[in-house]
Amino acid sequence: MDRLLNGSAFFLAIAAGFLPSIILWFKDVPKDAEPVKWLGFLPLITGLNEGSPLFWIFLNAMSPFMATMFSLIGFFIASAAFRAFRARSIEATLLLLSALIIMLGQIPLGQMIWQGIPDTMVWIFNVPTTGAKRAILFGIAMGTIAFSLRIIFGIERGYLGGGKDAK
Amino acid sequence: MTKELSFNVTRWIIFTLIALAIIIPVIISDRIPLPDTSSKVVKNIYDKIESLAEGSPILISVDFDPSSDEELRPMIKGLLRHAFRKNLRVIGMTIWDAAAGGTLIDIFNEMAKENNKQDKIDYAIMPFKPGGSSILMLISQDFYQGYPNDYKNNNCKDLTVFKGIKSLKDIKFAICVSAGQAVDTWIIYGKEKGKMPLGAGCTGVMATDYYPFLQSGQLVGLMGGLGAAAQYETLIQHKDTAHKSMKPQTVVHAMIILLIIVGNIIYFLGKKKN
Repeated sequence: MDRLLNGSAFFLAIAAGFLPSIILWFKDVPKDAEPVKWLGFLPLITGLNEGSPLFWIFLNAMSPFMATMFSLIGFFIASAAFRAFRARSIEATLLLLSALIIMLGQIPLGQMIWQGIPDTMVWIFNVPTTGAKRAILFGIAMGTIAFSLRIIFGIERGYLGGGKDAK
Repeated sequence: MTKELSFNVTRWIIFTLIALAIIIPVIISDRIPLPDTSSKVVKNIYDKIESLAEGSPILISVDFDPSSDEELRPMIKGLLRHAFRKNLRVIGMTIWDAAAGGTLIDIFNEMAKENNKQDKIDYAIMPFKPGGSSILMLISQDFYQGYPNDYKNNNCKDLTVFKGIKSLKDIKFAICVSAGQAVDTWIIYGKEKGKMPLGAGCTGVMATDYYPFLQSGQLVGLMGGLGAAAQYETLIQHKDTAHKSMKPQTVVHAMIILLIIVGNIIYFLGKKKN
């Protein structure tokens, strides 16, 4: 019985999700990338077991591709930091100083400059950041409770899609 | 037009500087010194593993994909080296689908080969099961309901590495190394149900999120980013990829700080002029 249920669920998933995606995918692939689309079927034939061609592709193609994509962020962060990270106000200056301390604290250079930089970084993590994080979480929790009570007592009816609140 | 040109020129100068800041330290890596120190939160993980008796079972959850591999793989390698050196029994698992195929198996096999450890006896790798939190709740009650077989389809109950393990409660130390929400899932569903000591490893930008859990004692220790991985390598006295990668990272961080300072000087000079 379990196997029958599992089998039915499997075929339902194939019919509902997999087949339409495959059809759409085939439609969207440009003509000059025709051979590439067949690669998608490779896992069905080979599986992702150790030593399989797909395992090799994962280690030697997928891993460097993903690592490269993620590494590119570093270049854009540097460019954005140069353009946008300005001490325009007191708040922005505080943010800027905190960022500089944390960036220095994360690398050995910070310790070489002054022993207190890593300790200051930990203090920023432990005190202001944790305090702010707790306050935000507490605020979200209180807001959720208040909103839930409004729904329970019928004060908030907008979610029903009608009435004065929905306008 | 001039403004656009200036924007593009500045952008390419910055890209070139960053590229050089990465390439040059990689080439002259040996000439850049790094201090051998470690933070308290990283040392807590080291001390926890160090305090375990020989043969104790530990669990490592590898929850990241290749995009964070460079930052997090050194952590797993350091943890496995330490555990294998201490002759601990190690169970590897993941609740992150993209880690299931290559990352988890690849790291464990590499470290097992390096330390002459045997699959099924000294370590075991669990297959990926979708569900995340459900799997953790299941293994916190009965490990073999969640994982009846290892990734090679061997019956887990028959394996030496699982001797004496019924659920997460029998694991002496668990650590989740993640690039996403897996640490949160482990704290909520693994730690609270299993009651075992839990450590965490994460990317540098995520570290801030887990400091409240250190204060509450829900996490024993935390490794945040490549710097923490390098500190762990120092603690186990086996300097490897994290140490090598820290050198370009140090120079790039210094370069970004310099760019921020230069950007602000230009901003204030322009403001004064106006």
